[in-house]
Amino acid sequence: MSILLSLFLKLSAFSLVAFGGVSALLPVLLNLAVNQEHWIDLQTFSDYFAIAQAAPGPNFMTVTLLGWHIYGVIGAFVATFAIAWPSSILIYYLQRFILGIKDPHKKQSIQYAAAALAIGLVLSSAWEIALQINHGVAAYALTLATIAFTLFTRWHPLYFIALGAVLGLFGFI
Amino acid sequence: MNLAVCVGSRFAGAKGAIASILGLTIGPVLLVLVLAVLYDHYSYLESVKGVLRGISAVGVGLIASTGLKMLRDEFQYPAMLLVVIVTVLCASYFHLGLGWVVLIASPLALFLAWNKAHKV
Repeated sequence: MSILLSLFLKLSAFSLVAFGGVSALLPVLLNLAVNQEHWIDLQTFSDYFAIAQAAPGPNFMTVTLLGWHIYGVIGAFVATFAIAWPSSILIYYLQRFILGIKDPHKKQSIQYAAAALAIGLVLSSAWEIALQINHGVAAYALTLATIAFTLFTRWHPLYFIALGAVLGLFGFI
Repeated sequence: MNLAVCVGSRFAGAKGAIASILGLTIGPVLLVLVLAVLYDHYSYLESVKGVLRGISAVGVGLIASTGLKMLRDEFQYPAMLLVVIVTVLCASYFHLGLGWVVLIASPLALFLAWNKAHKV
């Protein structure tokens, strides 16, 4: 029971800072789950990250799988709830606050500032996660190719995920 | 997720926000649990490991390109790129905790954003 409670509390606290989205804070989640709490090892974390990427739905599915790993179905629901409720409440009031600002310049400023911070966090998140879960040149090449193709084509991300799966299946990655 | 809260609450207040979160979440959670069971049974297979390695390499790329696509918009007011650089340096080079990163970067972000809002 105590591990379930700790899962709930730690993930709730994480959610409070992760209102910009879980993918911006994946390294923080990895550090919490792998290095601090020892809930899971690095390989399983990367595998869960992969499953969450391939499955449809919100980007916090890594957290759902983490909960599953620790405490089965109950753990999965506790983890999902824990990751969702604080940030949802925060966003709810933040939105009302921002909509309530009369001065359009003030409103714009807050949005621009938040966007720039979010971009920085997402980029460093991708960088750090790549360092942790990519092993070898082929994996980095695939990551870079994904970036290039998603930036310069309009192909759906699922094609790249399928391509990654096929390349991995044949042992290239 | 955040979008669900915003849209849901605009249409039906707090109840709308809760309803749209649940609607968006339950299906994917159940599906991902099925995948988790499969993973438990087959993760020892070399081919499954390979597939997951491939997907995670793509997944990292997808996250990076989300950031880079947003970055393109910042070039209309290049000074804001400074905020991005400071944030990345604080987080990835100096390995500061998230609180510190936000505390250090947000004054600069707000200052530049204020100028941007008056110019653009």
